[in-house]
Amino acid sequence: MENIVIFYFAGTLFSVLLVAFIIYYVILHQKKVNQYNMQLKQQELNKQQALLIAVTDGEEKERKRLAEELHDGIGAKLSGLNMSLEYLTEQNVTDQNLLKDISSGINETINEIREISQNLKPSSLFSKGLNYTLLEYISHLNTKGKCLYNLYIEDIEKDISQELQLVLYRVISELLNNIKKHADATEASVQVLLTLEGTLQLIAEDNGKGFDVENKKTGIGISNIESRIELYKGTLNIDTSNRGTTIIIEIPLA
Amino acid sequence: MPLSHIFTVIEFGMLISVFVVHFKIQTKYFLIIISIFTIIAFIDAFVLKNLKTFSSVAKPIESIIFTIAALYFYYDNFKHINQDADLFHQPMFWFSTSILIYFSINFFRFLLFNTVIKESINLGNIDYNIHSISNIIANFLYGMAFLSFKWKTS
Repeated sequence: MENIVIFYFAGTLFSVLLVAFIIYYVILHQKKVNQYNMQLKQQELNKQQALLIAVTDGEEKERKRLAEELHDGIGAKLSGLNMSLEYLTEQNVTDQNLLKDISSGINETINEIREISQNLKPSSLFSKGLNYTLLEYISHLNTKGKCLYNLYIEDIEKDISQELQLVLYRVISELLNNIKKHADATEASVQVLLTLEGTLQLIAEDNGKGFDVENKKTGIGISNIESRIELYKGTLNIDTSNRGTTIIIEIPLA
Repeated sequence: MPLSHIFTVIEFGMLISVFVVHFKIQTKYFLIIISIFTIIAFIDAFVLKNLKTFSSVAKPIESIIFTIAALYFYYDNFKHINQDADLFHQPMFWFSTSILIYFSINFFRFLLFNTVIKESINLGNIDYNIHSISNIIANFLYGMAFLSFKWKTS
C-alpha cells in the first residue's frame, strides 16, 4: 500500500514538473516566433520604405531631366529664334537665309517637343503595343549618333499586363539612354525573352567602356531601374568591364 | 458518486467536441469516439466496478486522450511556425493548456483514487487539495480562453 502512495505522489509530482516544463518551453518558443515575426515585419517595412524612397527619387530625377531638357534645349532654341525675329523686325529687312534658319529651328523645336512628349507618355505603347513602340524607339535611336542598336523581342504582349509593359518600356529606354549617354559604344543590343520557367528575361549588352557599378549606381538610373523591377520581385545583374556591359534583368511572371 | 460516472461521459463529450471543431474532425469519427468512451464508462461503472466507486478506468483514459490532444495542439502549432496569429491570443492555446494541466496532473489521482481514499483521511485531504488547486488553475485558464475569444458582433 505504501508503494502505491509513493507511486501516486511521485507520479503526480513528475506530471507537475513535466507539464511545467512543456508549458514553459511552448511559451518560450512562442515568444521567439513572435520576435521573429516582428523582425520580418520590420524588414518588410524597411524594404517598402527604401522602395518608396527610390521611386520618389526616380521621379525627382525624371523631373529634373525634363526641366533641363526644356530649359537647355527648347528654351535656348526658342530664345535664339526670338532674337532672330527681333533682328528682322528691327532692321525691317527680309533675309531669306535667316528665315530658312528660323523655319528649320522651329521644326527642330517641334521635333524635340515631340521626343520629350513621347518619352513622357509613349502613346503608341497601348495603341500599337510594346514591340512596335520599342522597334520605333530603336529605329529612332539608329538615326542619331554612331552606335548601332539592335532589338530582339519575343511576342510577350499577351503574357504581361499593361503596367508591366510600361515598366519594361521605361527600363529599356533608361538602359538605352545610359548606353547613348555614357557607354561610348558602337554596338548595343536588347533582347526580351520569355523563358520556359515563365520568367521574363531582359538582356542589354553594349561594347562600350563600361562603368563602375558601385560609384555609378545612383548616378545613371540603375537604382531607378532596380526599384521599378523590385516592385515585380525581379532581379538585376550587372557584368561590366572596359570591353562592354551586360545587364540581365529577370522578372517572374507567375 | 453515481453522478460522477455520468459527469465523466458528459465532460468527455463536451471537451472533445472543442478539439473536434478545432482539428476539423469528421462528425462520424466524433460519434465513434463518444460511443467507445461511453461503452468504456458503462463497463467501468457496471462491470469492472460499481456505481458507488470512483471511475478509475474511464477517467484515466479520458486523461490520456486529452493530454495527447493538448500536446498534439502544441505540435500542430510548432509545425506552422510562420503563421501570423499569436498563440497567446488564441483561445485554443489557453484551452489546451488548461486541459493539459488538469488532466496530466490528476492522471495518477484518477488512477489510484479508490486505493488512496481507503488509506487514510489525511491522504484523501492532500489528494483533494491537489485536485482543487489544479482545478482552480484550469478554470482560470478557461477564463483566459474566453477572454481571448473574438466574439462575432452583428
